[in-house]
Amino acid sequence: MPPFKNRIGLSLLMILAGVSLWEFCLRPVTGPTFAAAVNEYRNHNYQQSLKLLHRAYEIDPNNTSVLTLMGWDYLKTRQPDRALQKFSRAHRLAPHSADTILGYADTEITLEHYQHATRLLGLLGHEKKDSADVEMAWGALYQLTGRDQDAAREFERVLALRHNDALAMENLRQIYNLEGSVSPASLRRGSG
Amino acid sequence: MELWREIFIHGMNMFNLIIVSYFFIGNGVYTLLMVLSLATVWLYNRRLAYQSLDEIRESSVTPPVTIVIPAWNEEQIVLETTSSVLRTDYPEVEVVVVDDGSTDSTLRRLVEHFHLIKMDLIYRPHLPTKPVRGFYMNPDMPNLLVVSKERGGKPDALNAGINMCRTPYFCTLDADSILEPDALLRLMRPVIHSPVNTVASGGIVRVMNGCQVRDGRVTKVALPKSRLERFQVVEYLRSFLFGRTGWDLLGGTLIVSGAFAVFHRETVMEVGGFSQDTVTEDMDLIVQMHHWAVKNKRRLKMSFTSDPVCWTECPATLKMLGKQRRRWQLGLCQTLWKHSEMLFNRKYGLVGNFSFPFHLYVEALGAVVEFLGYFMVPLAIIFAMVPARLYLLFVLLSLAYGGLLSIGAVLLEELTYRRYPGYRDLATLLWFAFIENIGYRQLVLYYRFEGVLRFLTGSRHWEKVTHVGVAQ
Repeated sequence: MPPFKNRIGLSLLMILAGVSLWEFCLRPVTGPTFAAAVNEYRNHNYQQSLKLLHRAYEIDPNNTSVLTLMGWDYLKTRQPDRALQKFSRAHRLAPHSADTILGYADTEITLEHYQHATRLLGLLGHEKKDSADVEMAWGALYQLTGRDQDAAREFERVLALRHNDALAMENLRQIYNLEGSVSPASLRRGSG
Repeated sequence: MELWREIFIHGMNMFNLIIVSYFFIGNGVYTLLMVLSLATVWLYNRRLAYQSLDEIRESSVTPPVTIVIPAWNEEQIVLETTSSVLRTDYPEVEVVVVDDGSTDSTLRRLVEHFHLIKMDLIYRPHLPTKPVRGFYMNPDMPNLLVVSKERGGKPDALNAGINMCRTPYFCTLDADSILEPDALLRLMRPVIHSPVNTVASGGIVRVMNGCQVRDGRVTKVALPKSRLERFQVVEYLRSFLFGRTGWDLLGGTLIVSGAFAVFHRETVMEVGGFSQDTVTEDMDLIVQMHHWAVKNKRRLKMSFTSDPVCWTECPATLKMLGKQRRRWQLGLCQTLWKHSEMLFNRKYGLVGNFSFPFHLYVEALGAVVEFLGYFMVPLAIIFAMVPARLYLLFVLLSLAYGGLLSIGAVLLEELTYRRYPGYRDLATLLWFAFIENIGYRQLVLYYRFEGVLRFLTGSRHWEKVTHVGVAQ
C-alpha cells in the first residue's frame, strides 16, 4: 500500500504539517517585543530592555538577535559573566554575525581574556574595516595590553569616522598625557 | 551556509516540539493507566476474597478448554510444560502439543516420556496449515495429543492445534512456559462471568528465571541472579500490572500475550486463525477480531486479568534479548500498519481513537523519537540551541518519571500479589526499578529502534529466542 494512501501515512504527514505550521506561522513572534527592547536600549534603559528581552527569549530561545541584545544589556549593566553566556550562545548559533562577535569581543576584553578577544576581533578584520565600534574595540584591546601606539592609531581612526567620540578622545588623552580637546595638531605635539 | 543554518535551526525546533509532546502525551497516558490499574487490581483482589474459585471448578456449565502448545526445538523445557498443564486444576481440559517440525529431540522426548503411540486421526484443516506428519496419543491419557507437522512457523502450528481442538475455548501456551495450577480457572473467570461474548482473555506472564521448578511446578519463587534478568522482572511487572490492566479497564485492549491466553475458537476461526502476515501473531489476532466485530456488528469483549499466572523464561543474554525485542517491535509495526484503517476511525470507538493511536505514536514511533532524541538533543546543545541545564533537567525529569512508574509497579505487586515475599527481594526490585532507566532502558530502546528499521526495510524475519533452562 502506498505510504500516503493509508491513515498512518496520512496522520504522519498531518503531524509534520502541523509542526511546520507551528514553527513557521503560528509560533508567537518576538518582533514587537524585540523592537521595544531595542528602543529601551537606545534610551539607555538597559534594565527595562532586559525585561522585554526575557519575554522575547521565552518565545524564541534560539533567536540570535535577542541573545545578542541581552548580551549588550548585561555588558552595559556591568554583568560581564552573564553577557558572556549570551554572546557565546549567540556566536555558536550565528558564527558570522558581526554584532555578536563585537559584543563577545568587548565582553572578553572586560573580562581580561585578551587572547580570545584578539581572535574574535580578527574575525571582523575584513568585514568591518570602517566601523568605529570595531576600531574602538581594537583600540581598547591594544591599550589594555600595553600597545599604546597601536591603540592611539585605532582611536584616531575612530575620531576620523565618528568626530567628537568622547571615549576615543578620553583614551587618547590618557595615552598622550594631554588636557583639553584633542586635535591632530595637539596629537602631533604630544607624540613628538 | 546561512540557509543551511536556518534549516537546521527550524528542523531542531520542530524536533524539540515533537519530543516534548511525546514526553507529555506518553507519560500522561502511562499515569492514567497507572491510576486505573491501582484501582482495578485493588478492587479485583477485594472482590476475589469473597468469591472462591470453587463455583467455576464445580459448575457443570464451565466450558471445557483445550490448551494448545506450539513447540519448535523446545527439547529443554517441553516436558516440564506439558506435565504442568496436564495437572492443571480445571474441570475439563485437553492438551494439544504441536511439534512444528523440530530438528531436535522435542518429539522423541514427548513420545518417550508420555509413552505415546502414533495414531491415525481425522484431520480437518479448517484453517490451512502445512501438512501434518502424524498424531501421537496414549490411550491411558486421552486428554493429551501430540501433533507432528512440517515446519510452518508459530502461527501455523497454532492453527494446526486449533484444527484439532474440540472445545469452545482454547488456551495458547508457549512451550517455554509453566502454568500455575489454578491459572486456567482464574483466566476463565471473566469469560464465564461476562454477559458479552469474551473472545480473548489474557493473564499475567511472570519471569521464571531464578525460580525453583520441580515436576512442572514453580515450587519456590525467587529473583534471578543476573542484572539483565532482574530488569526484565521489573519490566514485566510494569507492562502487565500497569499497562494491560489499565487498557482492560478502558476497554482498549489491543495486545493479549499469546504466551498465555484463552480464545473463543469459533471467533478465531471466523477471522481466519493466526495470521502469518506479522511476527506477532497474538496481537494481530486481537486487532483482527476488533476489526471483524465492527464489520459484522458484533459485541465482543477482550479481557485481561492480573492474577492467572504463567511463568516464562526471559532472555538471559543480550543477544537473545535483542532478538526478542526486535521481533516485538517489528510485529507491533507490522500489525499497526496492516490494520491502519482503524486509526482515528470512529467505528472502532475507543480502540480506534485512543488505544490504536497510543500504540502507534507512543509505543511504535516513540522508539524512533526517543532514540533520535538521544543524539539530536546533544547536537542541539553543541550548537547552543538548547541550554545544557534545561536539557539536563528534562533528562532527569524523564528518567525520574520512568523510575516512578516502575517503582509504582513494584509497589502494586507488593500490595497485592506479593509473589516475592522477602523484604530483601522487595528492596532489590525497588532498586532495579530505580536504576532501570539508566542503561537498560536505552539498551532496549536500541533494540526497538532496530525493530522499526527492520519494518521500514520490509524484513519479515522471525527471530527465534532460544532458552537455556534458567530456572533452578
